[in-house]
This record gives sequence, C-alpha cells and structure tokens, in this order.
Amino acid sequence: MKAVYYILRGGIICIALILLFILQTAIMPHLSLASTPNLMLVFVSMMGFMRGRKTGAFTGLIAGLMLDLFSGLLFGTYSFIYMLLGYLNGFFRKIYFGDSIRLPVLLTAATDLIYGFMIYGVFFLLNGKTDVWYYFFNVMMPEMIYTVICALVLYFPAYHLNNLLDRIRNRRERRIA
Amino acid sequence: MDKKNRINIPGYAVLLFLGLLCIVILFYSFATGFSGGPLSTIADYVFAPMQEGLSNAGGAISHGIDEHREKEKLLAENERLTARVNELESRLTNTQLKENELTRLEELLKLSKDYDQYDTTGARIIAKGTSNWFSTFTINKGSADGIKKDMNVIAGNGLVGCVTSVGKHYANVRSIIDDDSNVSASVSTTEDDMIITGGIEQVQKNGLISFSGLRDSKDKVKEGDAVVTSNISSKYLPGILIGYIAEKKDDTNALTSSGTITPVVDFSHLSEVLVITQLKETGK
Repeated sequence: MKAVYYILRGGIICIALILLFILQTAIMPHLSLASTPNLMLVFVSMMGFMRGRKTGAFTGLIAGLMLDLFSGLLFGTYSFIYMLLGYLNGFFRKIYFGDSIRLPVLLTAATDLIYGFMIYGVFFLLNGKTDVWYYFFNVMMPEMIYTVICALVLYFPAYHLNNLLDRIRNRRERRIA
Repeated sequence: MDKKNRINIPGYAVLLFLGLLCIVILFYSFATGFSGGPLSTIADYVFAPMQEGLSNAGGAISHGIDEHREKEKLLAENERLTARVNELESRLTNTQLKENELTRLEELLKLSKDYDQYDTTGARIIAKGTSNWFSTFTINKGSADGIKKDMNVIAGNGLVGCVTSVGKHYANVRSIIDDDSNVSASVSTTEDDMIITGGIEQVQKNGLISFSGLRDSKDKVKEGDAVVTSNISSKYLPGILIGYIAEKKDDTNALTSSGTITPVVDFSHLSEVLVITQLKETGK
C-alpha cells in the first residue's frame, strides 16, 4: 500500500518535470532575451528546499536524465550535476517556511550560479578557456537573472504542488495510524 | 503514528547511491557510446510529438513579435538587395560566358565530372539546446526516417553540424559553433587544411568561429576565401561550404596561422535543416 503513495508522488513530480522540459526546450527558445531560463533547475531546487534532500536528489536525477537524452554530452553528466544540486538544496528545508519569497529567490539564484560554474569548470576551463569573467558576465549572469524572474512565476504552482504532495503523504500516515 | 513502520533511509546514503549510479552511467557511456538506449523510446512517445506541436506555437508567437520589428529593417534591406541583384546579374552573364567556355574545354578533354551531389532529407527543428552553454538542437526525424549517428546536417548551402544521437523519431544535432565541435576543413583555393573550432565566446562577440593550424607558408590564403569541409575529415563529407575567412594572422611559431571565419549559416534563425543521408566512408 505504501508503494502506491510513493509512486503517486513520484508520478506527479515526473509529470511536472516533463511539462517544464517541453516548456524549456520548445517554447522558451522563442521567447529568449540574451539567454533562456533554466526552468528544470528551478523546479529541482524548489523540490529540494521544500521537500528535503532525498526528494531533491531524485527530482534532480530524473531532470538530469531527460536533459542527457537530448544534450549530446556524455550521458550522465546532467544527471550527476542536477542530482547533486537537488540534494544540496535539501539542506535548506529546515529554514524554509513557505511564508516568504526571499529564500526561494536566493536559493534558485545561487543554484543557477553554482550550476554555471560547474559546467564552466568541467567543459570550458578544462578545454583551456580560462577567461572566467567573460563567461560569468555573458552566460551565467543573464541566465541567472532570467531564471530568477521565472522562479518568481514558478514559485506559486510549486508551492501548491508541495501542499498537494503533503496531503498525499498525510493521508497515508493517517491510514497507517 | 508508528514510526517503526517507516523505513528511514538516511539522506547521505541516498546521495551516495545516486552519485555512484551516475558515475557508473558516465563510465558506461564513455566506454560504449551509450546515449539513452531504452530511455530514448520513452522520449519518442512523450517528448518529440509534444515538442513538435509546441515549437510551432512558440514560433507563431515570436513570429508575431518579430513581424513589427522586422518591417522597417526589411524595407532598407530590400533597397540594398536590389542594388546587389543588379550587380550580381551583370556578374552572372560574365560567369555564364566562362561556363560555356569551360564545358566546351571539358568536352575536349573528356573531363566532365559533376561535383558530388548528396542526397538530403529535410527536417524541422523542434527543440533548442538543453542549456545556454551548448549549441545543440533536436530535429523531428530519427532512425525511422533513415537518420544515423554522424550524418552531416546542412542549411541552405552551408554546414550546420552533425548528428550526435538518434531516437526513433528524433535526432540530436551538435552545431559547428558549439564549444565541443571540431571540424577538419580546407581552403577551397589552395586546399590547405585547418581545424575549425566553435566557441560561444567568439560567436557571441561577433558571430564568428575560429580556425587554427592553417599551413600557408606562401601566404596565398586571403581574407574572403571560401572554406569547405576537408576530404581528410573523419565525419564530414568533403566539399561542404562552411564560411569565408574573416581574419587571418600568423601564429608565433611562424609555421601555421589562425584566425576567424564568418559562417554562411545564420545559426540564430535556423528552423529547417537538411540532413545528408550518406555517411562518410572511413574505411573502418
């Protein structure tokens, strides 16, 4: 019986990720201003600090696998990065109360910057492209700003999704008790 | 609530397990060239059809926005292009005369040989890259339409990139402006070889891609010379136009030169591409 609830919660997260993935790759490129927002990362980060380390890591892994399918990089790269970032965001669950938007904004911004530095470090710095400031101001910053703006929009659906997931879990616990 | 009934796996154990799983996947794909396998079947039925539909909708929106902005630009461009057409027409007559002469001489020498014509199939771009760091995109044709890994992709008359992985109804393409892309090319006039490397830094600054390792001891290669794919390339078919040399300078070793190339393809406005359904014979 327990498994049903796990599958239900996992399924909801998967559907949300699929919708975001399609939004990010098929629609956002048409609406990009100097950069396209990283919606998947916003969601992974939110699931991390709203639901904790384990959910964050799993959400990150699934998001990463989807990106890996379409990226043309070594398969598993994004899975690893997103999984790690989802896990790290989980540490902030203790100070997340859902009443202020300050923490989500700060965390998504920081997550996107760390993601930028990770990609830069692995694929650019090691290829001898050492001009970190160029990449910082021209790739990471625009992406971060656009991502934070989208995070503000995405926060409210994610907040309600989190409540929905909470309700599913509570129902299970009530049934056990 | 009985807590004993819940299995409580500590967070670090989950991290450790998933981390190891990712590393295993990384090594496995590095060793075998695995790029999705069974997972790409899911992508076929979930992502590709939805991306295709939504990409059309997104295109319609941005088209509406662009329309207003473009109108004035188009008028100016129209004027400029009319002048250019006139100029080119006069040049064309000149070329036609020369071509007639060439056919006549070729017939005399029995040299008549057509340039390689490649069979192509058209495809639409249904999704753009997965991040701002890489220039990759997804097209709406896959192995069911005869697309294979490493096939060349062109648009108009210029090289766009090559296919990196294939699903049943979609394929991923890495363009030549991507940081990960290296193309072996040669100058069409002197047939000197060089390596063309993409990079977002150059592309964002001035829309160029860089080349290096050009051996041109007699300094015959000039700015404006056409650059085509080389016949020693392992992936790219020979003779596909890449662009024109924009700037060339000697390297400090005084043996080779490097510089930048203006690509013929407008990478920021791609929506349809052609895939050459022919793989390079590498003798393997």
